[in-house]
Amino acid sequence: MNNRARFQRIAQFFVFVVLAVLSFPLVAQAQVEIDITEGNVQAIPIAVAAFEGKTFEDQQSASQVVQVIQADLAGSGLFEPLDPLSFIQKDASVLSVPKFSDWRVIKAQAVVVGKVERLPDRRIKAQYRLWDVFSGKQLSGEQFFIKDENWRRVGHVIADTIYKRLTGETGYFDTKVAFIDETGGKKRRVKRLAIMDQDGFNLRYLTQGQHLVLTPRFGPKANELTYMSYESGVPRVYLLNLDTGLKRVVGDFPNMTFAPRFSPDGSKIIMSLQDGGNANIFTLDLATKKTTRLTYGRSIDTAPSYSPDGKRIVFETDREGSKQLYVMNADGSGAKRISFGDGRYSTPVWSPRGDLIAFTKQIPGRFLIGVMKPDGSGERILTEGYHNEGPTWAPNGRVLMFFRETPGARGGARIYSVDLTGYNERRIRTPSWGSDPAWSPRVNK
Amino acid sequence: MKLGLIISMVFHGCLLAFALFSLTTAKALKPMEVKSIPMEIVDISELTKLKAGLKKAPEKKETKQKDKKPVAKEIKKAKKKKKPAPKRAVQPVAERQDPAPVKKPKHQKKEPKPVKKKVAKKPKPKPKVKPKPKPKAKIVKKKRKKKKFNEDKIAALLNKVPDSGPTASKLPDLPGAKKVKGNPQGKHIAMSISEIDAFRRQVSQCWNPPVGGLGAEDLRVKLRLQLRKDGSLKGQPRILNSGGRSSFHRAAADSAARAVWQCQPYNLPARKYDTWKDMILNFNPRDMLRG
Repeated sequence: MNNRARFQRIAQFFVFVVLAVLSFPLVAQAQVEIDITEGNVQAIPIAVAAFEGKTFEDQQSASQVVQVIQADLAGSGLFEPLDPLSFIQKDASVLSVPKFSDWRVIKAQAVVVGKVERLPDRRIKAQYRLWDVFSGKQLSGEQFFIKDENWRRVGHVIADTIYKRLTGETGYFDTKVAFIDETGGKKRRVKRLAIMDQDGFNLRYLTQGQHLVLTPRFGPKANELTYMSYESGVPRVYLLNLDTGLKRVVGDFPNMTFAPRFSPDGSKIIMSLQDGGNANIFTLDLATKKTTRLTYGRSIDTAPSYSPDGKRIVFETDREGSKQLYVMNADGSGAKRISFGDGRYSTPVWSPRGDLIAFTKQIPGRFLIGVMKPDGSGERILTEGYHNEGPTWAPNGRVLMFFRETPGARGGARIYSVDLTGYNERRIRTPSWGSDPAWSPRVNK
Repeated sequence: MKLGLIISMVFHGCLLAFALFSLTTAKALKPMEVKSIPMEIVDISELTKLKAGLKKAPEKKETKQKDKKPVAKEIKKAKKKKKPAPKRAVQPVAERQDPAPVKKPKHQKKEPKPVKKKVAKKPKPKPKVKPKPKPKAKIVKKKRKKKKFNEDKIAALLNKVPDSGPTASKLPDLPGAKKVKGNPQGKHIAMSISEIDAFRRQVSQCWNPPVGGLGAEDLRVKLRLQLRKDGSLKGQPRILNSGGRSSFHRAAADSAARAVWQCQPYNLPARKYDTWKDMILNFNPRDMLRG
């Protein structure tokens, strides 16, 4: 035994010596080592070259796809698609390496080349390659097939892959937004549930406006929506399957239910149930129909939102007087207040990547949209205005949408997006007024 | 009368003796009071270079002060001298008394020896070189110990060595100087802070890191690049750290490589080519992350 231990120690020592000797030259060649801790954050200049197409129709589709890619990239604020008129190389092809010197001249850092082909079976085949202009490396290259009526999605998917490759984050272009479409005068607004692509195209109405609908929320697979509707006279939470168009009331509660949201795994819906002047938070298991009560206060507890791991819930409550945000465990235990700034906090939403909670904050005369860490620290305001409300996260947790209402008899709500940094605020295209946006998770391919 | 005279003489003698004695002690003390501060006007780059070498030198100076051979010398200058001119006497500007004697030949000779040793040692295992960041740290420590040992031991030997070796003293590894290391071969000069700053600024300008991602850890990129004498890039920069192959790290690594490509050629001092021909850049956008 003793000998063995000794042998082991000798062996260890030997290994150490060998390793030391092996790596000695590294030390001997001590290099200058310099820290670069600051950069120059700016939109990446990117050139999306004209995609090739064999026939005239192919070429038309190709240029449309290119437009979608350019609009997506520009809309993110992280890219600066260069003007195609400035391009020197006009014959860039997926089959050959681009002339990098030509692209360097126009200061492109990356160049996208591609090809679109309409197949006889009413599908579209799209190929692309993303090149790093400076190192001359291909960063990514893929091809996609899609039904030709969904051609815009090809553009979104390509934009997503470019976004991911250059920023490291998952893209959010191939996603949808559900919202409340509002038409008519302020006194007689017709509110319809609608769904569209995140860039405002392919709009579709899901309800016809006979009843008031509010707070649509996507399920984790993006094929289900839950929302509140007055369809049966009393406000109720509904569940709508987007593929089949089937809808049903969630649970069988005596009073009104509102502020629904899916659990991250989609198995449950969490919502508020009215009880006299109070409201408490319940979950309903969609498979077993079992309801679980999570809060018992004599207060209005509402707007619950799960953390992405499903272990905690953030919600708003007026249990201490004014509306504030609280975080509790998924079983309702350990509720703790997290918002301590001036003003009232409401509509909390946990970021899909878990690091932040977005909220609406009301101070006299203004509504702000902000984010804070789940422990309540690091509060940051992203935007403010007369009436901002209802933040919703992009699936990558980097961009938020919300709605902003303008005052006056002719005013109305519009949907905007803003970057997590507070920059790049943009209005989202809707046919008329729009409110209560809900950003879908990434649509599966 | 006589007695009085004798007494007077004795007293005066005593007084004189006392005075003499006290006067001599005063004299002896005098030089100790005056401690001159050697001053020299150097440009910033020299100063910054010196820092690297200073750690060791002043200590030597003090220990050898007993040695009364006044060889005026400037340790600082010797450090960056390239040509073999070991005994260049430099007049310190503000130095009046106490020429701060340093036994220079010894000190200088001492340095080259470890250099030689190392140089001899290096070539052997070279073919096996592979970037292994972790072992490196360990070895640095080891090396340091070794070096001390060598120096003390070899001091005696060195006296016998004729004064013909390379004179530029090597900047040994310093505990404080991790970022800019002196060249172990003792031939070259470290880059000064101002030169590094200029270079850093040049790279920063072109660096567009993908901030906003989750893990700041992922965004750290260690890049090794080799440069030509005209400051242009020689071959692809190599990424030395892997961030678990996360997409964030990949994007960050690409952004760093892009910055390096985009901003070349670099304005670097040609005479220090050996120092910067092969270097490592640590990209870390820690100062830029928000939230």
